[in-house]
Formats: sequence, structure tokens, C-alpha cells
Amino acid sequence: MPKRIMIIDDEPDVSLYLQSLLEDAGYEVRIPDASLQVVDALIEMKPDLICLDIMMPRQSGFSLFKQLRLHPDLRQTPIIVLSGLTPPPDFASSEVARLFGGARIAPPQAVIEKPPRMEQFLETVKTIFEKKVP
Amino acid sequence: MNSSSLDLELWLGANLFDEVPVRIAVIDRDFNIVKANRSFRETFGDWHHKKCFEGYKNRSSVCQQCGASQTFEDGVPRVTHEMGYGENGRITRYIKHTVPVREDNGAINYLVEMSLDVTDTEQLRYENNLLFEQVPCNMTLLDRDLRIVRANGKIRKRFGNVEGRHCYEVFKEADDACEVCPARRSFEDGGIHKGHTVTKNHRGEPVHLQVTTAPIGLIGSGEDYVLEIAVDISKPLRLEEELGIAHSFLQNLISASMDGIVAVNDKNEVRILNSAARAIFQIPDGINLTGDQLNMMLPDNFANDLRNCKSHLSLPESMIHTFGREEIPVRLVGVRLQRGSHLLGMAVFIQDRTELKHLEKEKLEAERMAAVGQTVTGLAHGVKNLLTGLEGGMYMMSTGLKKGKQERIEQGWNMLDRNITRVTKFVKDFLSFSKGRTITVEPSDPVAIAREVVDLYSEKARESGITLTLSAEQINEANLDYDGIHDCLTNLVGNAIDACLMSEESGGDSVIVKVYETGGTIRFEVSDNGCGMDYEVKQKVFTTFFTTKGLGGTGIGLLTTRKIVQEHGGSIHVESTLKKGTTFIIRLPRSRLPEKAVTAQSGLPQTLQQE
Repeated sequence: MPKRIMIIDDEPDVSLYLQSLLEDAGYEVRIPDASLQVVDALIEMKPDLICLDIMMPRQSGFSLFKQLRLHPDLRQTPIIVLSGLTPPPDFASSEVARLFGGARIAPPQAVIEKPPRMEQFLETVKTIFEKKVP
Repeated sequence: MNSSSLDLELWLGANLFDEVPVRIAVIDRDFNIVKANRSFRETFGDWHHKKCFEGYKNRSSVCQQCGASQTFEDGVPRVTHEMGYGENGRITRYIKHTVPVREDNGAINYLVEMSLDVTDTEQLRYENNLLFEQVPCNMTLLDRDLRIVRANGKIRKRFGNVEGRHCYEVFKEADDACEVCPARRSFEDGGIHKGHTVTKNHRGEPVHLQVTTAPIGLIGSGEDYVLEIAVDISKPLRLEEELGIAHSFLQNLISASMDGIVAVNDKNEVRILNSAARAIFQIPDGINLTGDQLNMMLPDNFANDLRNCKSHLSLPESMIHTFGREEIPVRLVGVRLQRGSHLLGMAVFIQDRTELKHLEKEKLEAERMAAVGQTVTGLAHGVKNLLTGLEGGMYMMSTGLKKGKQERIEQGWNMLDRNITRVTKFVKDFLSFSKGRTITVEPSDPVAIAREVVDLYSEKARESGITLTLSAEQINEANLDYDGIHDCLTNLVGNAIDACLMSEESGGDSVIVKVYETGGTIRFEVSDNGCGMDYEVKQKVFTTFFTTKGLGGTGIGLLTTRKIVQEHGGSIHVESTLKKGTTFIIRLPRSRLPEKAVTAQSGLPQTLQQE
């Protein structure tokens, strides 16, 4: 059974690109329905990995990230953060800690700067799954 | 006895009784006044058919202490001090000598009462005593041995009963008279003398006394006594000292002040000119400034306006002339010095703004550079999303071709097409933003710019069912970059219309542009009742390069707007509530607007332009 990956990015072109890329590599990919709450969609789908854009206009990627990490059903799901920020956010920095309001939040499994380099991106995904499966 | 002496005896017998200036009355054993002289009548009125207590005292019965009864009894003459009422009810004081008229057989049937009026003397004595006791200074009466004959209440209160002791013992705790003694001099020459002496108060603190001595004596009999009056002048002395301290404190403050301080008196004479003022006005050493010279250096009419103002006059940004007629920017505060309504003079405080102006300009420049820096950071993010889109398009195209999937080829093509269109718009915006465009200010009507933008969008607004209104008041022209401000308002009004179109709630049908001025600041406000922004979006509208319009926007509009506003020395803020609407506010303080003909170099930093 293929691993399932959820892509959360408000740029439709980016979502489509990543979806194609990952499907070509043999994964099952979902993009949440715009009408659904992201968290509800995630609970319903139970993905094995989440690709999260950290610069979304409607809801800050940081607050969504915190929400996922604190959610009892989703806290174990690995997350790759994709970011257009320069430089990419450092989750160990005090600045990000401040955004989390002091809550102890486990960092993402990987942070990748946009645009992602294909091979590197797929390699990262693969590594995460290999670590998960003993 | 000759006839003339006989006549005298007759005259005395007939007239003396009436002519003597002493009140005489004769009373019998029943206290009836049987005879009285003119002086008595003049004081106590008609005495006929009156008892003595009626005549003297207006009483209806015998007095409690009745000297007459005793003299009738024992035949001893008496002198008593009495008080009675005159004809008009006036109090009269008198000393009464009561003498019995003894008949041959020794019986006393009549008394002669002779009364001497002492009313005025008593009054004087009373007043004198009151003055002596109550006067708020130390008073003593000294005899020739410098012994205290009498001391007033103030002295008794401080030193107790001192009568009979030497003044130097009491006041100085000394065994001998002081070397310089005004009292002794008054005894010697009969004149009034003054001196200064120091004693101690009950706490042992020194008390400074000013002493005046005046001789008092019977006429022609030399000086029996000296009246010594000592006034405590410790408080005035202390005040004088404090005044001296305050004065020198002020002197130091004025001379050490970084601000220039100049003061003139009511005759327009310069009384204070501190070294800071000398430096600001560049007055050569050794030159004493006149009031007229000062007025020439201050702004026109400043002195006049100050004279006619209520209390003070403040010019935060003004110019003065130096002694050498050079103009320099200053901050001026003038103060009317007055006591009640009486003008004492005027003081002027001067701050040199040359350095401050320089700093303000540098700060403005730094703000402009920061705006450019933030923009560049934001741009990088925008570019990355575009690149991702382009790479995605390429991937879809190439894999589609490889796999022969028509659908994927079309998806890829559309992605490329969209992102290339975006790149084109992006680059165009970016160039207009960054190609080193200089803002050029000239006097412009802020309302006219707003009106032009509203006209520009009126068609689109009408088509979209949105009411676009301009609310403006008359404002004076200001140094603005007409096209720049036009671009700003175009961006904001465009955004507001988009926000209305994106609104999913009711509302989303009104955009209002306001232009007005308060407190020297020109304000443009663009409000809509469209979709509004949540906190996250509000935080980002200016801080990063960012769009909520998906593929429709480049996110460069607000950055450009902010850059132009900041180049005008102004600021832009946003107030927004999700689903309720948004207001953007541009504030342009007139004092920070660039000067005409000075063009601010803007755009990317030099290093980036070269890359």
C-alpha cells in the first residue's frame, strides 16, 4: 500500500507540481478540498506525511504547524516545511519559539527552500519514510 | 489789712469755689449733694436734689465701697480712685479727695469732695502699657546702671522675670557691659542710637537683633531711663542669604544651559545673555548686545508679538539671524516676565536646530533605505514562488511528453503560461518600483490627486455595484510627487475594490476615500466594507512581499505605496476587521515633506543595481 502524502499550499500551481512529482514516484497524494478545514481533511485522510507551505496568506503556516503538532491524532505525523522565506525559517530560533507562544513544539522533520530541487525533495521524503519503518 | 487785700479776700470768698478747676461737691450725712461748684456741674450736670451716687455714678443706691460713709464714721480724710459717668454718659476717671467738715463740737455733718479728672491720663497710660506689652519686639526700660526696670511680655516669655538685673547678664550672659552699647551712648548724649547684637534663642541658635535705644526723662532733668527696642532680624537675614543662594544657583543654571538664554528688562536693555546664546548668535566676545540689536536677530515682530501675547510664545521651527547676518534654524520660546499685569521684561530661549535638522534628514534617509531593503527581501519570496511555478510547468510538460499524456502536457503548458504572464507583470511592477526612480516634489493639491484616482475607478466600481465616494475638505497645496501619490491611491483604491469583490458577507459595496488635514498632517484614508483581514494577514501586508490574490496579484502594490509614502517622510497604517472591512491611512506631516527641487535618490542600493 503506497504511502499517503497531504500537500498544503495555497499556490495551486505549486500543489499541482508537487502532486505530480510525488505521484510519479509512487506515492498517493491528496490536496485538501478548499471548502474543508485543513485539520478535518487531515484527520479524515490520516496521511503518512504532510508537506506544509509556511507562507500562506489566509492562515499562517506557523500557527497551522503548531496546531498539527499539538493535535492528539496528528502529532506523530512527520511534516516537511516548504518555504519561500529567505532565509528559510529556523525552528530552533527564539524568533520561531516566540511565534509558538512558549509551547514546546517538536521541529519539522525537514525544511526545504522553494523552489524545491526534485531529487533532493524526493530523497528527503524517502528518508523520512525509511526512518519511520523499522 | 488794706482795702485791696480786703477786696482779694472778698473775691476769693465769693468766687474761688466756682473758679477752681477741680470738681467740688459738698454732701450731707444722707448723701445729698448740698453744694457743688461749676466744674462739677460741667462734668456731671445739674446736681440739685441728687444723692452723691446719683450725681457721680448714675446709681440708684449707695455704692458698695462707700468712702464717704467711712469718713463720716472715722473723720479721716480719704483719697480714692473712682470711675463715674459724666452728663452725657461718658466714662470719667477721677481721683477724689474726701475731707470731713468738723464742727466746733466735733460733729461731722458735711464732707467736701474734691475730684481731679484723670480720664485722659489713664487712657494714655493704658494705651502705652498695651503698646509696650504687645509690640512684637523686645522692649526694656533701663536705668543708668543698665538695670532692667521694666521688660515687656515678649522678653518675659523668653527670659522670665528679669526686672532688677543687668541687661548684659540677661541677654548676653556677660559680667560686664558690652563694649559698644547704644543704651550707654543714649544716656551720655541724650540721642537715639542703633546697634546690632547676637543672642541665642531657647534652642541655642543664634538670634540677630537690631537694637534701638531712646532716652526717656522728665523735662530738663536729664535722662533717667533709656527705652531699648530690639527687633529680631534673623528671618530677613536668612531670607537674604537664601535669596543670594537662589540667585547664584540661577546664575549657574543660566550660564551652564545648553540652550541660549537672553532676557531684556522693561526698558529693552539686555540683562542676561548666556554663553550658549552668545555661541548661537555668534556674538564676538567683548560686545554688549543692545535690545535693538537682539530684535534685529530674532524673527520679524517676535519681540512685538511676545510683548502682546498672554504668557509665552513658542516657535518650534524658526530662523534667526546671527550677529553676522547668517540665517540658522532654531527652536524659539519667548516668555513674558511679569508681576501681576506689570511687564518686567522678556526672556527668550533658543535651541540650535542645525544639528537636529541634519539628524532628521539622516533618519529620513535611513527610513528610505530600510523600505528598499524590506522590499528586496519580499521580492525574493515572490520570485521563489514564480520559480516553483515555472519549474512545475517544465516538469509537467517534460513528463507529459515522455509519457505521452496529453492532459499533463496541457496542465504543464497552462502552468508555464500563467507563471510567465505573472513574471511579465512582476518584472514590470518591479522595474517601476526599483529602477532608481526619483520622487520629484512640487506644490500639488492633495484633493486633486484623490479626485483623479476616484474618477479613474468610477467606471469599474459602478460595473461591480460598488459605491465609490470622495470626501475631502479644502487643503493647501503641499510638496508632493503627484504621480507617486497618484500611484499610492490607485493601489489602495484598487485593493479596496478587490476586497469588496472578495467579500462573502453582505456589505462589500462601498469604498470611501477621505482627504483632510489635522495638526499639520495631511491624511488620506481609503476605507472599504469588504472582506477585511485577519491578524496574520494584517501583520504581513507591509512586512513581507505578499499577496492574497493568488495568481492575480504580484504583492508589490502595497510595498510600492509604502516606499513612496516613506519617501515623502510619511507613514502608512492599516486598520482591519475580518469580514467587516479595511481602512488604509496615509499620514504626511507637512514638516517632514521634502523641499522642492531637492530630489530624493531612491531605488535599490548601489550594489544591487550593479548585479
